[in-house]
Amino acid sequence: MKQLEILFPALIIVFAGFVVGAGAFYYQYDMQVMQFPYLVGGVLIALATLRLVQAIRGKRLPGEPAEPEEPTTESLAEFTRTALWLVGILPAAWLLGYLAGIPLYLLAYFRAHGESWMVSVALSLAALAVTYFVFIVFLRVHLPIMPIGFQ
Amino acid sequence: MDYFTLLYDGFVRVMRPDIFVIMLAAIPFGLVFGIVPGLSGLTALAILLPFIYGMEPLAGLALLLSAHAVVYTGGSVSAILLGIPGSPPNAATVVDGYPMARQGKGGQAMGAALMASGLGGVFGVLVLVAILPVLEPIVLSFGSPETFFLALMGVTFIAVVGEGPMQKGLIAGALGIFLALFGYQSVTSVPRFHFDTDYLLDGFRIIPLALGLFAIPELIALSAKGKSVAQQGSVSNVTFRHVMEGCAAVFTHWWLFLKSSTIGAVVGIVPGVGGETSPFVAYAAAKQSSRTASTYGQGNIEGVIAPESSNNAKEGGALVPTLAFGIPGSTGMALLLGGFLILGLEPGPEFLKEHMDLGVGLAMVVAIANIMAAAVMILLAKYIARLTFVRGHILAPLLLAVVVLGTYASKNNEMDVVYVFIFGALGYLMKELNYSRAPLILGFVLTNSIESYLHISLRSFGPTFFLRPISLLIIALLVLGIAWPSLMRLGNRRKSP
Repeated sequence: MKQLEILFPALIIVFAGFVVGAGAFYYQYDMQVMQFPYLVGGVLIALATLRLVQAIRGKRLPGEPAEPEEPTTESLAEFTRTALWLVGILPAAWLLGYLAGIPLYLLAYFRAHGESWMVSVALSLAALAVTYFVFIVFLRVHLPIMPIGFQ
Repeated sequence: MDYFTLLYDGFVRVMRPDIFVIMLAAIPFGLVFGIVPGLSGLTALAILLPFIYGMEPLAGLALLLSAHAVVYTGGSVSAILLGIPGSPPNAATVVDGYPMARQGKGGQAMGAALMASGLGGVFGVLVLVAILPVLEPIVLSFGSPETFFLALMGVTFIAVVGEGPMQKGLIAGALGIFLALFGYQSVTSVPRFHFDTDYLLDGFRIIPLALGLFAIPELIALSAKGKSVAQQGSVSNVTFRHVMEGCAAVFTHWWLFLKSSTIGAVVGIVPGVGGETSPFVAYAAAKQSSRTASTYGQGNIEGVIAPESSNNAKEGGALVPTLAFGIPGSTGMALLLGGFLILGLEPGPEFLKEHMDLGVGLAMVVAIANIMAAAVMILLAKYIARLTFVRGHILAPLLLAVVVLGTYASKNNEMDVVYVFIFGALGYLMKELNYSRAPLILGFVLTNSIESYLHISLRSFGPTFFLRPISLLIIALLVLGIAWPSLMRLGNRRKSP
């Protein structure tokens, strides 16, 4: 957790510095455009730098828990597994289209997490029906129903 | 048009069939998000945001507000029957509500909580309706420098008094403002920091940001947990007669109800204080003045009425600074500001001048939603509470599908869906590292106003624009707000030997 406490403000500093730097040197915006980004970027970098120094020194801020829970190897593996499963909806929707991809993703998710075939199929079919009737028929959303790039 | 005619018109507009149907759809949605612990009102608001595109203002805001206003009504049921607060502000209800349920008085506790919630919500609206016309001439005296400082004060206050350490809140607020700098600048129409991509010409969108920050981290937690939230508790010993007895208890404790609702409404008005505070303040005040204080914590019905009255009353109060000054009174209101933005509206001094009818309409929405939610829950709470037994492995992917479809539906843009996950990673990191996410979304939403009013102020009044009397007063409040936590710590240190 301590490494993340250091990494997060460091990333903010790099991000804000890069964006403001691009505006000043790459795009060369005039002062009217850059005035506010300089101000906000400056404040953001100053606050993040202060936090970075505090995090490196291990200083605990008022209002923070005394002993933050350190992640274990198991909890990190569990988080990675969970996050990958959730992000998996993106390739499913892109490769198979939203109409088929999302119910198939749900079917795979339910089965992989120990749900019975009956529950998994029933919920996936319900999701297919909701996607079709609510989004396509009722809300008239142009959902890509074919794989992305093959509309 | 006099104010009473405005009130009547507001009521008639809200009772239009289309608005009424929208409210009917939003209320169960909000109740479910309230009942299921881990799914907060913020997640409900974030998920509903994409669906308001293209709606007329009252309809879109009615959808958001109806769901948001009733979340805590739903949350009281899981707090009482299962001992798990449906949403954080319901935590105070657990203290006496759960012991009541274990003593076989779950029905009475639920009835009292639901009636107090419903009437508390109406009380908060009455406060809002009473204050809006008084505020109108005050806010109209605000020029661009004052509005600039007010917007800045909104971000700062929610950073200072919100969850997590103040310094992290300020970083989040500044990051929110920074993220909103991408895309066309309103003053010059120059596309800023687009990095030669079409997507960034319009800047980051509020919907992927809101969903990423508030929905994805909760879905990760829900999915990682896997099991149902409720492993214990029973919904079987609740009868309708007991529920009605509980409802009647609110009327026999009418003074407690009025006192707690007033506390809720007042705490709600204070910008940024948030929902978790008012129920505990109301609970403490009730205990202090009670003749039966010794039974608090062991199943005293007063300990249910007090927090639940204040819980819903604070939403009406929180609408006061949101509508009048564009400063949200709670985190939920910060997301609601995003809804205003999507619908092309900008709350603040000009809003009251031009859209007082809409403001009154929104007050009516909150009042009616509270009454309807209480009625639905009184009749069906026993059955709806079973939702807490649905496993996280089922809820999380289904909600994720709604998030993905809703995001795509908002602009028909696949990149928005990708950004949901990018901002989701940011939201997860912020949650884990104890950075408040509310200042980020508020900073993002208010940036356009902050930058435009700063520009106008500099042009009209020069670099000394901050020397106007009201501006100086707001600056003083701003400084006091930032220094307040340090002053409190200093005071506490002196008190302790």
